[in-house]
This record gives sequence, C-alpha cells and structure tokens, in this order.
Amino acid sequence: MTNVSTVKDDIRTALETLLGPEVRSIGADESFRDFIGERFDSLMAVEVVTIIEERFGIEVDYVGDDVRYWFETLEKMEQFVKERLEDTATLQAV
Amino acid sequence: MSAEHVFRTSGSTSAPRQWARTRRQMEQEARMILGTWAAGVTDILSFAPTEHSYGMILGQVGADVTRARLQSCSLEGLLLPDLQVRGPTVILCIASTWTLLASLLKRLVPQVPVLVLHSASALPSKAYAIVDRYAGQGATFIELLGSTETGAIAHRPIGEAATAWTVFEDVSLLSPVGVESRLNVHSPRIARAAEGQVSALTHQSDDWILAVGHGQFQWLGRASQLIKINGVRQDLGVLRAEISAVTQCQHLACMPLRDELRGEAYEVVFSSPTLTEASLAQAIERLGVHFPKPVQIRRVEQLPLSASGKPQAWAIQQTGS
Repeated sequence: MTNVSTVKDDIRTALETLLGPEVRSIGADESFRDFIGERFDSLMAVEVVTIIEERFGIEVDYVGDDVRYWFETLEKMEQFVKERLEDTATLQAV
Repeated sequence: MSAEHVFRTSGSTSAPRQWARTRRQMEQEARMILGTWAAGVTDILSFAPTEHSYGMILGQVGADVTRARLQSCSLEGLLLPDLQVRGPTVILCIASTWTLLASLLKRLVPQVPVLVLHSASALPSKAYAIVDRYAGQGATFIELLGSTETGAIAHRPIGEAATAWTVFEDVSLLSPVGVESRLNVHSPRIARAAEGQVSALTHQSDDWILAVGHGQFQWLGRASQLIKINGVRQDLGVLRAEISAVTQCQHLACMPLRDELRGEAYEVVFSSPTLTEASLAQAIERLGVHFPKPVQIRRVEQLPLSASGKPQAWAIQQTGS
C-alpha cells in the first residue's frame, strides 16, 4: 500500500507518464485544467482521474465525489488521495 | 423542429457530407426502439451529443415522442444528470460514458427500471463487468449498430461480444448469407444525401460482416480507414494527410487502437531525422482544438514508404506497440 507521505511524488510520477515531463513544472495550486488546455483532447481530464485511480487502487465516484473540485489542482488531488487511502486503511483495520 | 434535420459526417474522403433525415424517419426510429425496450419511459439521460444522429433521434426526438424529460449530459464537461427520476429511465451511452455508468446505476437501479443503450463506438472492455453486475437487477443493456446515413440498423444484447446482430423489424439485410461482405441493407429510414433529391432505399455501409441468416450477422470490422473516437467518425487517411502537411513528414502513419475511454483511438507512428515526439505533438496542436488528438505518438527508426508514398503496413506492424 502507498505511504501517504509519498502521495505527492507518486501523483506527479503517474501524471508524467500520461502527460509528459512538463507536469513537473506545474505549481501545486495551479489549475490543472489550464495546463491540459488545448494540448490534449477533451477526455484527458478523465484520463487523469483514471490514472490516479489505477496508481493508488482507489475508486472515484463521479456522481458522489466532486471531481471538478478535487482534480482541479495537484494539491487538491493529493488531499483527495490521502483521504481515500486513510479511509481504506481504517476500513481494513475494522 | 422542421420537417428535415441535417447531420454532417466526415465522410470516407476529406470532403464532409450532409445527410437529411425527415422528422417522420426519426420519430419512427425513436418510437420503435424506446417502445420495444423502454415502455413508459419518463427520463432520458443522454451522453450522446445531438449533433450526431444517435443523440438527436433517441435523445431529443425520443423525449418528444415519449414526453420523457431529457437531460443532456457530458462526462468531458462533467455535466452529470439529476438522478431524481420519476420512472423508467433510459441512459444513452457512448464509449466514455461507461467510466461513470456504474456510479449512475448504483443509484438508479434500486429506484426504477433502467435501459442502457450503447451506440456509435466500440464497447470498452470494462462494460462487461458492469453488465454482469446490474443485468437482471432492473437494468437492461442493448447495443445498437447504425450510422448517420442509415439510422439504427441492428441491435443485440450486451453480454458476450460474439453475439450476432439482429436487424430491426423495418430493415432487410441484403448481404449474402455465408459470405464476408459489406453490410448492405434496405430500410425506410435511410437519410437523403443533401445533394440528392430523394432518399435511397438501400445502403451499403463501411461495416464488414458475415450474414448468418434470419436477419442476423456477425460484425467483422470496417472495410475502410474510418474509426469512431468516442462516437465521432474520423478518417485515418485524412488525419494522416493533415499531420503530414503540418509536419512536412511523409514517413508517418496513423494507426487505429482500441481505447478503454474512447472506444477507438489512434496513434501516430513516424520516422524522421529532425522531428521528435514532442515537436510532432506541438505541430498537431497547431491544427486546432477540434483536430482529434492521437493518444500516442511514437518515433521509430525506420518507416519505409511504398511506391505510392504510403507507409508500408508490414513495417508499421514490425515496430511493435
């Protein structure tokens, strides 16, 4: 299981495989949607969610989770993933 | 809505074509499909854009003829539906919809009967797990085969990929039984080519099939370079020509790929002493926001051309994936 302290790096690594090395230059609080912009097709934002799900073994509920909010910046993504991992750990401990 | 509605396709050449469907044709199709599998429908959640015949006919026209509430949704735009539905609900899926379909069904199936229709692109492999989970619990899954030119031609339950297609009751299959051939049908719902005076009664499509009798056939593939990226038809030959022009690279091919999110997609394979994958990506960006982007760009050592100047298929296959 992923250690929550490495989540930040793991997110960037996962996104780098999808979007290229320029991901490294995005600030943690910069809009990710702006970065994707017109470089990629309209489904790339969904690809970002999918690769995060796969990398961390979590499931994003498009209806229940506010995807537009949580996947807006790297900082928010990190917070979302950490919370999900903690929830999973708690459930496994019960 | 006027008596005719015009749809545009990229066509099998670079020249876009226009196809006119009469209001009567569209209503007939909507009534037939929704009446067969979704009697009493009260809500239609459409992820299929109305620019395309599938979304227009089963979404907008379907809502008109059944008096159902239509919600136009989009995964790309994160426009998700209000799930406070009133009764039997239809979800119009394209390839990307399956990414969030389980979330929708988890909430809808305990409330109301749900019909999931899929069309306009190949099914992603994850579709089968969702069907296994919800089929028989109040959800029905049907795949439709059709085109802008013909409207819906055939249907099959979503389950086993090898299940034969069955033509609709008002369609006759003209392709010879037992021989691989193009899909050839007779139908009263064939669109009128905008430059023509009347609709044709028969149409030979780009689909390559094996007719097995009793109005059924196996779908084998496409006879041309057309693919459907998340339901939007694209001609790989045209895409190649445009990318070659903007990059001045002739040693370049656009190869079809299956894609979990988009149903089908394509990759660019090229060889060049000067271009890199990044510079080629930048060149494609210059083709504009509406130009379909490849999901992968791959530089290879050599991509020989044939005598006619086309990259040789055997060489592309040998580059691996």
